[in-house]
Amino acid sequence: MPRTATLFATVAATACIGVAAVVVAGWAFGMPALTTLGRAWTPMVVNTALGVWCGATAILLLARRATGKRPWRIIRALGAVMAVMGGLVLADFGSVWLTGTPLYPPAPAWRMAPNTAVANVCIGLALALSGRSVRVTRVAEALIAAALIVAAVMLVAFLMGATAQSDLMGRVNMSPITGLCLATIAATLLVVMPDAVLGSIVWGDGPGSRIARPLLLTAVLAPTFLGWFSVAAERRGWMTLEYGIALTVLGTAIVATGAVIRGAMRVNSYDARRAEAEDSLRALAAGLETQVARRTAELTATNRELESFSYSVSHDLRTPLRALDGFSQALLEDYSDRLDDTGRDYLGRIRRGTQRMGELIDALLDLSRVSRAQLQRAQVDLSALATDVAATLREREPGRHVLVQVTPGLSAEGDPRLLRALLENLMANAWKFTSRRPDALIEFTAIREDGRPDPVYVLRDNGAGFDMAHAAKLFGAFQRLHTEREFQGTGVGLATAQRIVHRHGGEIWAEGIAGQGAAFFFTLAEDLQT
Amino acid sequence: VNKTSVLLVEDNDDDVQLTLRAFRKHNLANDIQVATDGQQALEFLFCQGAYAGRDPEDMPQLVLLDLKLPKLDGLEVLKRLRADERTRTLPVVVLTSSREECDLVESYRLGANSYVRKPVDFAEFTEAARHLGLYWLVLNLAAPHP
Repeated sequence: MPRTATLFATVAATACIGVAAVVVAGWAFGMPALTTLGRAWTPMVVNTALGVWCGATAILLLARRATGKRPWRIIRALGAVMAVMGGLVLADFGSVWLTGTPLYPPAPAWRMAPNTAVANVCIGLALALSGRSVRVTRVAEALIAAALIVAAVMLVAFLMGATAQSDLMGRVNMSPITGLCLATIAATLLVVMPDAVLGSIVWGDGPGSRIARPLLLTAVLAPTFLGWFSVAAERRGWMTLEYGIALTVLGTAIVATGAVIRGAMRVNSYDARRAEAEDSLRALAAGLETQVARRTAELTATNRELESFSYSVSHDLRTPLRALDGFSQALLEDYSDRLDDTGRDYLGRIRRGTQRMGELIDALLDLSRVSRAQLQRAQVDLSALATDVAATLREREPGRHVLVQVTPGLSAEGDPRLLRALLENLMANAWKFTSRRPDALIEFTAIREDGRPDPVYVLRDNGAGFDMAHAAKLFGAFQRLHTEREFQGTGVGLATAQRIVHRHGGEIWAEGIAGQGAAFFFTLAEDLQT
Repeated sequence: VNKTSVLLVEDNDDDVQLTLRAFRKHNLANDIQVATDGQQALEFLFCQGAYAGRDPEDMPQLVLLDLKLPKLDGLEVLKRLRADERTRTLPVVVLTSSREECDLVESYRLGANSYVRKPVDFAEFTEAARHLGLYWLVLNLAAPHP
C-alpha cells in the first residue's frame, strides 16, 4: 500500500475514533453537548460510537500492518461485533413493524437509527468476510459500497439542509456525525482493503488509474456542490427549486461530459504513445533480425574458411614433411658410408623433428575437427566406452600393469564419437602419467555435487599428478606441464577434451597433487545445444 | 603382357621420388608411369593427346591416385574413370596426405578400391608401399579387360 494511502487511512480512522470517544464520554458523564459535538444536531448514540470504533480500528489494523502480518481474526471479530449490534437494532425494528411491540425498549443512549444499523450490518459483514479469496472480497466490497450509499445519502441530504431531527419509523434518523464517520469508514475501507477494485484503481500506477483519479474526485464533488448550491440559492430566494434542479442536472451533465472528453483524450494520447513504442519496438526487432542474419552469414563464411584452412593444413603441410623425412632416410640408407656418426645423428634428429611435427599437425587437426563436427545426440554408455578405451590402451602397451576401475551403469546423452574421443584423451593422459608406477590405478566414476543437477564424472589416477599452481595451464592447446623427455605428448589432448565438454554444454576441471595423482572432473548438460 | 604395372598420379616431385624409391626397394614395380596432373592421367589411360599412340590394351594393373592435383583433381579423375567402360573395373587406390573425412567418404562413394593415407614417416611409407604392391600387383586378381 502506498504511503499516502496509509497516511490517509490513519488520519481518517483516528479522527473517527476521536469522535466516538468524545461521544461516549458525553453519554457517560451526562454532557449532551459532547454527543452532538456542540451543534443542534441529532446526537450520536453509544452503540453507534462503538460501531464506529470497531470500523476505524479495523482500518488501522488493515492499513498499518504489512501484508501477511494482518491480524485477520481480530479484524473479523470487530466486524462481527458491528454486524451483531446492527442486527439487534434491525431485529427490534422488525418486531415493532410486524407485531407492534419492541423486543426491548432501548434507553436513549442506545437508540441507534435504522439506517445506521443497516450500515453497521453491511460494514460488519464485510469485515467478517475480509482476508479471504478475491471473489469473497468482491462481495465485501459490494456490502461496503451499500453502507457508503446509506451513510452518504444522509450526509448529502444534511448538506442540502434536510431537517436534522426527522423521524424514521418512529425512531430518530442517523446523526450527521454518524453519517460522516460511517461514510469515511466505508470510503476508506474501499480503498485500503487488500485486492479491492477501487483501492487498486485509486492507488494504481497504470494509465487507467491516472485517468480515473481526477474523474472520481469530480464525479463525487461536482454534483454534491451543485445540489448544495441549488438548495442554498433557493433558500435565499435567488432562484426556484426547479431552476436549482435544472442547474444541478445541467451542471452535472456538463461536468460529466467534460470528464468523459478529458478521459477519452488521455486514453487516445496513451494509445498513440503505445502505438509509437510498438512501432519502434517492431523496427528494433526487424533490425535485430537483419543483424542476426548478417552475423550468421559472417559466421558461416568464417566456418567455411576454417574448413578450407584445415583441409589445406591436412594436405599441404604434411607433404614437405614427408620429403624431409623420406630424403633424410634415403641419405642414411644410400650415403651412410660417407657420413660419420655426427652426420647420422643429425639426420636422425631431422627425422625425429619431422615426425613430431607430423604428430602435432594431426593433433591440431583432431582439435579443429572437434570444433567443426556436427553434434549428434544419442544415449551413450560411458561405462562401456571407458572399459573399451582401457582395453585399447592395454593392447597398445601389453607390458604395463594398470588396474582400471569403471563404475558400471554410467550413461549420458551426447555425441558418441566425441564422447569416445573425450574418454580416449583423458584415459590416455592417465595411462601416460601413471607409467612410472608399478601399482598404477585409473578409476572412472560419477559423483553428485550440491547445486549441480547433473552428475559430475571423475577420471582419477595415481600418476605423476601436477601442481595446482599450474592448473590454469592444463587445458590450453600446446601447454605442457612436463617435458617431452619425461612424458611424450603433443599438448593438445586436454584442449581437445575441454572443447568436447564445452560443446556438450558442460564444464571440465582438474585437481592434482604433484607426485600423487590427478583427477579430472567433467559435466555434460542434459539438454544439448547443437 | 602388360608393360605398365602402375600409374602413379602425383604432382609433387618429392612424393613421386619417394614412392618410386619405396617401390624400387621392394622390387615391386620397375615400370611405373607417372602423371603429374589429372588431365595427363586421363590422357594416358584413354590414349589421347600426347599418348595417342599408346596401345589401348596396355592398361596398368593399379592406379595410385593423389587427390589434390592441378587442372583436374583426383576425385574428378576417379569419377571419369568409373564412368567409362574401359576403366570401370580398374583398381584405383587413393594415396593422399588428406585425412579429412569428406575425402575418405567421397572417394569410396565414387568407387575407389582403397584409401591409403601417406604417412610422414618414410619407414612407414615404405612399408605401406610394400603392402600396396604386394596386395594389388601380386595377390589381387583384377577383372579382365573388357
